[in-house]
Amino acid sequence: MSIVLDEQYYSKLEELQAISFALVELTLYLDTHPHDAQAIQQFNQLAMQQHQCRQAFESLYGPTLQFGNSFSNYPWQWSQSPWPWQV
Amino acid sequence: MTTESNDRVESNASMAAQAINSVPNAANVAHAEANAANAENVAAAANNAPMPNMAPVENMAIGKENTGYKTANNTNPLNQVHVYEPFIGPCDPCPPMKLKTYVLPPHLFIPYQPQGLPQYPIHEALRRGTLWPALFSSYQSRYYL
Repeated sequence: MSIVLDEQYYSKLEELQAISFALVELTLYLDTHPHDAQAIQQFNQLAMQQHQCRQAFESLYGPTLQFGNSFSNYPWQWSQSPWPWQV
Repeated sequence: MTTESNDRVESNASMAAQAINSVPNAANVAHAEANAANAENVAAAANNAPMPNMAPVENMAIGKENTGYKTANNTNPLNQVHVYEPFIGPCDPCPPMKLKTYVLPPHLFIPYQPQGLPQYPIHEALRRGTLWPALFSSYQSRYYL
């Protein structure tokens, strides 16, 4: 039982990827700039957005994180198609 | 290269069509229909693939004096690709390259990132590989367009 990769899948995935990338950049920046309050505020806002975006994506297409960082339906969804390099 | 990818996409679509026709099983039909839908999406993506930037290759030999050193990327405000002429000796076994390039990314000149730099919007940052325009360095192949 595999997922159909339609336009909505890719648009939602790109939204999640964009927010995640910005969070990675801000994390690395804040490691060397711990007193930048504006960056910390932006980081927290993006973290909230990422949480919402990831919940919306996972409710449609299954878990995105392993080892209990995402929930799974019955039957076990983590091993279902498509795998990341097939997307 | 686009014709090759179109051929591959068409062969994938034809293989998917053959799979649908050959095995009329319930689960296989659903799987093959998903594959056909995915093949159409792949064809759409291949036809809409963006063209790479040709300007650095076109401007390779032009050394406009905006900075005093020769760069190969003058239409772009980056000026990160530098051009130099290596020494050519008389005993080369093969025809020598007369112009060679190297890249100086901006992080070599900014030892400590200042606070409050302007940022790209989120989706553009994903495509450019960095959140700050001051730290952007493009990534182009020297050999393929």
